[in-house]
Amino acid sequence: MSRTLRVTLITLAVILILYGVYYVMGRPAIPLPAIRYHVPAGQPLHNIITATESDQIRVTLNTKGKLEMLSADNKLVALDYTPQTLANTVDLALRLSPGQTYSSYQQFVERFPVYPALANYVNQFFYQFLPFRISVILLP
Amino acid sequence: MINKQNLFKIIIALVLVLGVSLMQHTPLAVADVPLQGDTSNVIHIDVTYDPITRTFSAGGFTSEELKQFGVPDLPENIWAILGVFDNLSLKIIGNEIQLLTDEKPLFSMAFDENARAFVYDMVSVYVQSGKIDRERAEKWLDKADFDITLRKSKELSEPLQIKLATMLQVKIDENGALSVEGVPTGMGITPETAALLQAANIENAKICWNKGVVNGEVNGSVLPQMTIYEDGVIVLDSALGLNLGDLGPIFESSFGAGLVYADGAEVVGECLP
Repeated sequence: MSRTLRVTLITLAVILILYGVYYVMGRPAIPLPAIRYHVPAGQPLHNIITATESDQIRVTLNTKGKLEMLSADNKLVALDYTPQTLANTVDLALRLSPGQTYSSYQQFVERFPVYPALANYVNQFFYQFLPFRISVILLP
Repeated sequence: MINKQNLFKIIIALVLVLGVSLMQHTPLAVADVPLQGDTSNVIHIDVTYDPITRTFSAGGFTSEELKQFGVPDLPENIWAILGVFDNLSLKIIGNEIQLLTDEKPLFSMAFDENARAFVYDMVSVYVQSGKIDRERAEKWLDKADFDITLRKSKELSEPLQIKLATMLQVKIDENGALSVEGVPTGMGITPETAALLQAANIENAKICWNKGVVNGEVNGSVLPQMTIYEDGVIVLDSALGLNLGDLGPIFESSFGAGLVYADGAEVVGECLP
């Protein structure tokens, strides 16, 4: 057996073992570093941020199916989704989007017919197999 | 060579053990919330009134808040009647109507099919918008648990209780006019919005509110579940100056609506807590 094949097999086995442990632990979302974003004054979002006690809003996406908006320890809004309901929402948003957005999307799909399946695969992958959690901290 | 063979044996054994472990591992699943047996349409409205100051409070809202919502002042003859009683209560529970005054029954009446048919005929005569939809009315009254209490008191009324299993049927016709349960509201959507709904091929939608949890469907496609927290609405209210007042009663209520646009199919089902 060649050295390359051996290394590949060992790497695969290690990945499988690590994922197995991760799976047995219940697949917790992998936290990614938070992004801080200053919202300029004059925007409606700026007024909403300053109306909170903590003067900041944290938007957290957990690809396991939860989007939350929090201010300090207070929950403001939460959205629970599945890949199917997310796909339904995107479809609805495209249909209701102004101008030629929906027809442009349809043209794009005609040119790249693999796109919907690819988008669905990515959505399912991060929902089912490797969820991560990312936060955006909105500041005035 | 023997070491390499042992290494591969260990790897294969580990892979097999983990593979079996993954297969045996019970998959995480979101359990459906069991449906509650009580699927009645509960409306409990508490009204307090003070004949001296001519002010009243309803559903936990103050007189000033009710005025902000466009509730008119009561006419003098109504105040004259209210002044006579300390306590007046009207209950519609299933097939019976009860009127109680000062906690003593004034009268009770069977509200069976015949009595309801008579009421529908009477209402149809007076309602200018046309005949009442008996099928819909029966659907509402079949599960009715309505209770309106009027109390002579200066204190704030108790919060409104609304738990409706039956959905309100809201229809928007081709011209954008909006009707609720067949009754025209005089309101409507703009031609731009109507054109948008038509272009997006939206036929119907179902929206259910249950104490801040919103479930929705558009053309039968389920949308993500949204949870709106009272703190979140307070922040929005403060930021945008909406003057929404006391939100407690809304966050204690459950109701829903089935919206139909133009010739779209009627929304079936119920909003169950």
